[in-house]
Amino acid sequence: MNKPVVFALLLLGASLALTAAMPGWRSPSLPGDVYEMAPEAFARKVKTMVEAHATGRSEQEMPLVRPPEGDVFLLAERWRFYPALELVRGKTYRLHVASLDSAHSLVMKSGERLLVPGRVEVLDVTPGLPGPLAPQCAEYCGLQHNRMKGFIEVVE
Amino acid sequence: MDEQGGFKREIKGWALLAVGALAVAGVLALLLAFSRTPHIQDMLPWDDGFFHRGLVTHVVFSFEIWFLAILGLLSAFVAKEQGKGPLLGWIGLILAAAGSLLLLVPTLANQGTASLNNYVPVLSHPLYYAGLALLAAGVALAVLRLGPPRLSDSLFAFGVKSAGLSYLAALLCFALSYALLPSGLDEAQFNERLFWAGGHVLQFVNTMMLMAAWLALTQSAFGRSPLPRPVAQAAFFALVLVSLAAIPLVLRHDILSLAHRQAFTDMLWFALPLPPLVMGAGVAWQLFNDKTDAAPPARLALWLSLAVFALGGVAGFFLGVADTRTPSHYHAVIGGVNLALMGLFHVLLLPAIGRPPRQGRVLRLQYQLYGGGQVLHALGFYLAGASGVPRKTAGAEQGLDSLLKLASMGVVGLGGLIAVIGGILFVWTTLSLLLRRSAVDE
Repeated sequence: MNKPVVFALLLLGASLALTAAMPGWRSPSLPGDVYEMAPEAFARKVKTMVEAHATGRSEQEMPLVRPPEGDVFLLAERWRFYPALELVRGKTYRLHVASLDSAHSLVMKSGERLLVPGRVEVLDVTPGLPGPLAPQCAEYCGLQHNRMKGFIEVVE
Repeated sequence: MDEQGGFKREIKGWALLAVGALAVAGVLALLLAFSRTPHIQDMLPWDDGFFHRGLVTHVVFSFEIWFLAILGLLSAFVAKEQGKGPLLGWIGLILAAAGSLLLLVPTLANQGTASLNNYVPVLSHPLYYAGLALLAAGVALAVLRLGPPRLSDSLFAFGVKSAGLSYLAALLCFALSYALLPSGLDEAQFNERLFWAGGHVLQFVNTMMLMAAWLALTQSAFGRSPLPRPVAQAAFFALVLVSLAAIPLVLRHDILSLAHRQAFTDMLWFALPLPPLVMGAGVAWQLFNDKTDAAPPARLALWLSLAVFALGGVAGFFLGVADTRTPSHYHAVIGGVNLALMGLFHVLLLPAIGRPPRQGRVLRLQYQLYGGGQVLHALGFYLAGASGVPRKTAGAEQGLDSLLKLASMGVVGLGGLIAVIGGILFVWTTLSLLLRRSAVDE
């Protein structure tokens, strides 16, 4: 077999091997819990948290909330994550996130979760460093999709 | 009308559709700019909604129609060589042209909700979907007449037929996605998931057209292929096989799931880069080792195409989430493909129908301006995105609140302007050549 044919077979083999090896064939195992809750009921939980723990300040035209360690509720809707959150470094929070209106997603340093109305995704978050966590939506959800960013600030 | 004359007219027809699409995209871009200009915007017959509708159609004309018409054009060129199916080609051209015209109707009537979903943005209007379907069907007929690639084909024909086969795989992905999508979905989610899988496969088609153009340009400039024949065939065949693998991949996960979205992103990461990398290396080797150019501007087109495509390709591995690093990537890879296709027009396609371009400064300037502009445009977008500028926004929505963001977007604007001048030169000179009477028509 001459060299060009050998190289051709190697190229073909490498391409097919790469295709077979790509992670997309496998169903990813996502860490964290998921449970069902109607969007309106979730919205009421968010409202209760905001009323109990608002700091009196606002960010991105939303109330800035400093919840205690434990359950925190974040709502995704066109085109924002509500409310703005202030979390403390080293504390552990169970972040419950759900969509009010359509499919969105939540992207943070820990990865991405798809958000659909009626389903609540739960992520365990223990912020390690002060600064912004900058959650973003990566699921196209309309004309202002690219501006859909949340405000989560980690403080000491 | 003799058969060869019929094929030449078909080639001319596809070329007019392709370059005409760029001209329409350019006019729409001007209208978009006017629609955001104080005082001038009041003179236009449309309201604020026109900006997004016009933007959707600008993208579809400059990306979808331009590339698909090129595929039709290449199929006509190969069909002429092999004497295959002139009638199917003409029916395909008529359908594609009719579909393209249909897309303008809701746009100019300012109807339909604009959806800036990835790969194939749309206006949610029956005429728009009908226009896309006609365009898709027309190009499908043009490639179907060629049949599958055979080892005995010329390398260029093998490449074009491979691109055609992948195109059919893309259409199947679109059809499967439509069948799998549940009813009652939100318009944004429906369009995003409808075009996600097939849209990714179309990038394989575009890459194969790029590789076919590199082959033809290298052959013209240096008298030989950039790769040994079996290796070049393997490069195309690999991309065809991966395109076909997209079909079971559509069925692998729930079409609305994150896994489905990430699977096709993985496909571009893992399965697309190697074949064009190998062929690009072959082209670069020829360019470094052989200083001749038997068919200018082939050498210039090859250099710039390689450089701009490589820039975009590398950027593709370092994207953000919803910032301008993404348009940095796709503007550069599209720019790289366009530079090669411009070369193909000048070196192969226009001479084939008796309309060769005039050699000289204006011809070279098109490449220098378009290529240089695209590099600046892409670098500016990358820097802007890295500093947080969101994509698909304009004006105050961009949030240009730092010097770096302002400067980066300034570079984007400058690069874009330079590239547009190069593009206008190409469209103007090519349309002039296509529309004048020549010996072929007499």
